[in-house]
Amino acid sequence: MKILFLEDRPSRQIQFLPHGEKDVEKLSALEGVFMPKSKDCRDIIGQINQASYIFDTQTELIIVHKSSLITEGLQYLSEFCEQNEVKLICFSGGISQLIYTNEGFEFMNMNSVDFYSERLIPFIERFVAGESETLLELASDNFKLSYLLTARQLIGSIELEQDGDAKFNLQEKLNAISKVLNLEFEVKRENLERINSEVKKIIIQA
Amino acid sequence: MSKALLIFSDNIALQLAIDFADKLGNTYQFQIGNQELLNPNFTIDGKINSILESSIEAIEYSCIFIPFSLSKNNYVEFTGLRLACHIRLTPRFKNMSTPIVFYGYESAFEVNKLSSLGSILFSKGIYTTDRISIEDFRKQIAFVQENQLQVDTNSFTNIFIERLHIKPAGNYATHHSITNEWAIYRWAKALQLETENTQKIETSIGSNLYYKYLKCKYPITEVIDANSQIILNSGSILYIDDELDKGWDAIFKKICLNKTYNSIGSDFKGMTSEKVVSSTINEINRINPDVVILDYRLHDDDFENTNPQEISGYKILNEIKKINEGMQVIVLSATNKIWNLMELQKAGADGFILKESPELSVDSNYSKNTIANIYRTINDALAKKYLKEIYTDCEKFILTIDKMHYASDFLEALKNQLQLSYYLLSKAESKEQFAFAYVSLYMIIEIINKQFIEDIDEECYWDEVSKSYTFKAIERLTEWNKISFLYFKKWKGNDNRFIRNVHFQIQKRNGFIHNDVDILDRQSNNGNYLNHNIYKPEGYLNLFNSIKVLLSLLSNADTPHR
Amino acid sequence: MARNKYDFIKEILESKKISPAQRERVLLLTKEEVKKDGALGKELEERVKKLEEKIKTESSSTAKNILQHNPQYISKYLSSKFRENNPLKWTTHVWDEKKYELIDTFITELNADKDYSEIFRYNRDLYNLINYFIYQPKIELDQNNIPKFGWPNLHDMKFGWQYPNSLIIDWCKANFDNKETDIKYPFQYELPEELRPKKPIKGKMISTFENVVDVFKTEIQFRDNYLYRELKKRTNAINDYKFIGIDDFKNLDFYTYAPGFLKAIDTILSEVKRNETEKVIQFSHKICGDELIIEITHLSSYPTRVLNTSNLSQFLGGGMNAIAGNTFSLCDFSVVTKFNTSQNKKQNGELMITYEGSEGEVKGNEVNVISQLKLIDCDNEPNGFTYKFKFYL
Repeated sequence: MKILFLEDRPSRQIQFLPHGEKDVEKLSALEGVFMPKSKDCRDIIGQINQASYIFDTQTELIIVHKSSLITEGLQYLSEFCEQNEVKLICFSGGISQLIYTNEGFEFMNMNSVDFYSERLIPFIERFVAGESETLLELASDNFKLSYLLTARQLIGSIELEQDGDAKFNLQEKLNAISKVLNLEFEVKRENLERINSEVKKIIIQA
Repeated sequence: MSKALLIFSDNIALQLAIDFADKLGNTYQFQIGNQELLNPNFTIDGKINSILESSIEAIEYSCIFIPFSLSKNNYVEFTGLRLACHIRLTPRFKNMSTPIVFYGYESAFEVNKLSSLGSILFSKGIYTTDRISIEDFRKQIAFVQENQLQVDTNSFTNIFIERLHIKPAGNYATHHSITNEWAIYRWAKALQLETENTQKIETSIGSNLYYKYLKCKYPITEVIDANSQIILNSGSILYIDDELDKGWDAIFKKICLNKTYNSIGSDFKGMTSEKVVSSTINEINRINPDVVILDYRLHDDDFENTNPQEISGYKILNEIKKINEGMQVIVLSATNKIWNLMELQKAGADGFILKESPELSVDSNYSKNTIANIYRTINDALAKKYLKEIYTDCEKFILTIDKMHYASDFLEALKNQLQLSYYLLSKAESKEQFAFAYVSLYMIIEIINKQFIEDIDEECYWDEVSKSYTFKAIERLTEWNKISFLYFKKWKGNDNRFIRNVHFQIQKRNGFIHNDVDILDRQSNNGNYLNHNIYKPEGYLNLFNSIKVLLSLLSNADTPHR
Repeated sequence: MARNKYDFIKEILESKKISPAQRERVLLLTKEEVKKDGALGKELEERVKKLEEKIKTESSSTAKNILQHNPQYISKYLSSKFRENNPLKWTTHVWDEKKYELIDTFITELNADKDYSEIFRYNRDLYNLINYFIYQPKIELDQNNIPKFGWPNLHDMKFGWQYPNSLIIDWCKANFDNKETDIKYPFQYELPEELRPKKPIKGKMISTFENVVDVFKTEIQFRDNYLYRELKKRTNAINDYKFIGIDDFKNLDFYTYAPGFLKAIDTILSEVKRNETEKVIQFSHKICGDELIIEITHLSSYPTRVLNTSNLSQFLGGGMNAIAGNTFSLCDFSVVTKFNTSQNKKQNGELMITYEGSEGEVKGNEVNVISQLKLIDCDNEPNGFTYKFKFYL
């Protein structure tokens, strides 16, 4: 299964998904999604917390309710994700702001209400079909904007930076963003005007 | 001139920070380490709060530079804005009115469109710049100093709060909802209760931005002097809550000062929902409190259930009322859903205490008034503690009646009347209602009389000569006559005082039924109204004691082969 | 004659290039020889005895500066200690609440593991690095009470688990030990201002202990794209030359003392710049069983210097010695090329510079290879001058 989806409180799904039970049924029926129920779900979470769960080798994304994990469990998950290039989403009612990192593997923490949005099912469908690029798609339709703004920030920083290693790191990051954005032009200082223009275009439509 | 402060993070040129530290002031590198991120309890607010509390030197800076974004990989988190909000709302950091300069290439309009915290950009003391270099920052500091606002911190904060819009994190009734902690904080403050628990509250949610915002927006102005508030009625109280340690125990302990007070629930966390209910009932049977203060949701599963009858608090309420309907149960809850409250009322809840949620704190006196109400509610519940004993006795007598061998319709009538009179008593609020409960109880005498007395021609009277009750011929009998005949002649009773009491009790009933003010308003030599207790529980209790004796005699006189 | 003989013997005995075993042999032969010289021989014998004593005293102190080449030990030490479940692993991995309840328990376990002391015989820099990061090296303070010395490759890094003194341990006692709520882990420790390096280290400002740990991890292991990026950084700075095969170094993970290998790369890149006619450098690697072989080939470039087959050590110039010294006990180092031998012949061969049994001598910050080199024939026609490094996984 491509996606392991661990929700230990199914009523939450019914309450917050746009079409309630219908959406839950749709999710459960999606090929490539393993969403165990009730006791099975709790058992798996228990095993993760004991660092003993054996993941399906085809897993590419794990989604889990963060409050059900203890530190050992979250570390076990993150080690698995890093070693196997698996993405991880943790959602919880206690998360007041989305945090996204991509150091070794993509890891996103988001609030339950934001997670169970109208974007969830389309995102999962795209992911299963191999059409998803980044977890940030789940957070916003304008995820590319985040990359453009980061690129702009990096371009300014590269100009100011004098430390060789630091400058090299920033440039590497900019190169990586350029690849992801896949624009008609290269993301670099010389094209700052075009970058600004792309940014403005997206923000106006936001 | 005081130093400036530069906050920077991974995507910012380190040379900027090095030069800033060299020439303009202090710097702080914002970073979220792996160790932090892999802690399930990590929150961005906790992180920022910890930075302001202990990582950055807490001095008054001339100016604070913050980039719009502090994130490595996701610019639109705009964590810089969140940090600035915290600075504005954290008194301990001493920079609530310090000018803040956001640096980045976005305009305030753009950021406001993209972030829910964008409103801060339009509040006083906030600047933005897209010129990022040491020289530009130096000029910016000079500019900011020239345009420094001369406003005291309090006024500044009030202006800021008016402008800022902070929404609570999307959540639902879980342990993450801050209503619980907000209520503890407010009530602890109103009670002037500073404990390790309130410190813990500050630690657990004190870092939450929304909580900080609420504290500034709704300061407590009126406190309650818990020492001058007393619960007058005596009795024992049991408080049941799985979050005792968060501060609830300390609050109720203070309110229930000088009462017999117990609390349970700190070991609920590891239990199943069923175990929570069963262990609670065991404790209730053991402690036998007069009043139970019962938290509605005692288990994680309760946040799962939409059916009120599946909630652990509801189940416990049900069980308590099965054990003893007279045991008073006050339900403590954050729910404002009317259907939940109605179900609880139907199940027999005797009172409610609603936890104070932030929206209710608009009224600065709300906390104080709510606590005063809590005192009243508990006091009222204790005032009804007699119901517990009466119920116990009623139940005992019903069992006794079931074993009797008299005519079944007679026994049925006795039981029904007993239960009816208890029901009326339990519901009585006004004096008339108490009187009707009394009258209903009196009916038991009539039922007994009707069963055993057909026609007798003697009446009982007090003989001054012999100083005893005796009988003489009479044409019409009163109910007292009948019962006294049964008492003396049939059941061989010999307590004159008892039967005289019964006489007065029946008279009281007659006075009420016939609205005879001569009887009702009869006074003793020192001016006390002798019969006004018909309007109070006291009247019922006295009559009930008499009924108990009569029923006992009835039972004693019962023979198996009837 | 005796004088000349004595001088000659003295020269041999004092030569640093002969091993202790060879020195013994010379002494034995000398004794045999001088017996034949009669009275003069007696005087000679006395002088040689004094020389012998002098050398014996010197060699007991120079033994401390002799290193044994043992890359297998280093590799095994690093990969097992920092990956498998033992205390050293937790010096570089995030903690969970079950790992240790008290910091003292952890430190006691760390200090009980003294295996690192063995590394002193193999690679001094790595030994010092581990000593500074994990254990309790001697502290010398300057006039501002700041430690004078830091990590071997990164002198501004003056911090470790127990260095200087017990700063992080004391902090853990207040913030970690027995805490249930609001627990803070060692990695979250913020370094005091005076101990933070003023300049970035490897492109990062160091402010927390996690930053320190992250740097340490890059000192003992190449991971993900680290080696690739370091190669890229270096080669990007060299114009006019073409570098091929670097992309294959992405996601190449192995344990070693990274600065040592990177210094060797630096030396190689400055060596290749001497040949301005051939400008293509090829990087490649392959894994054979538990060996990782990295080769850097200056294509179509061959040595002009003659290889003295009876004294191979003469081939070791400053650059070559530096490469061998920097990678001593990290990997076997050899050069594969078409040599011009002293017999005026071309020989395709692999000159083994460090291999099993090799010895080095520490002189200041450098390590000189003092053992014999070995030349073996190779079957394939070399396509240039190849620097070959064999790491043990």
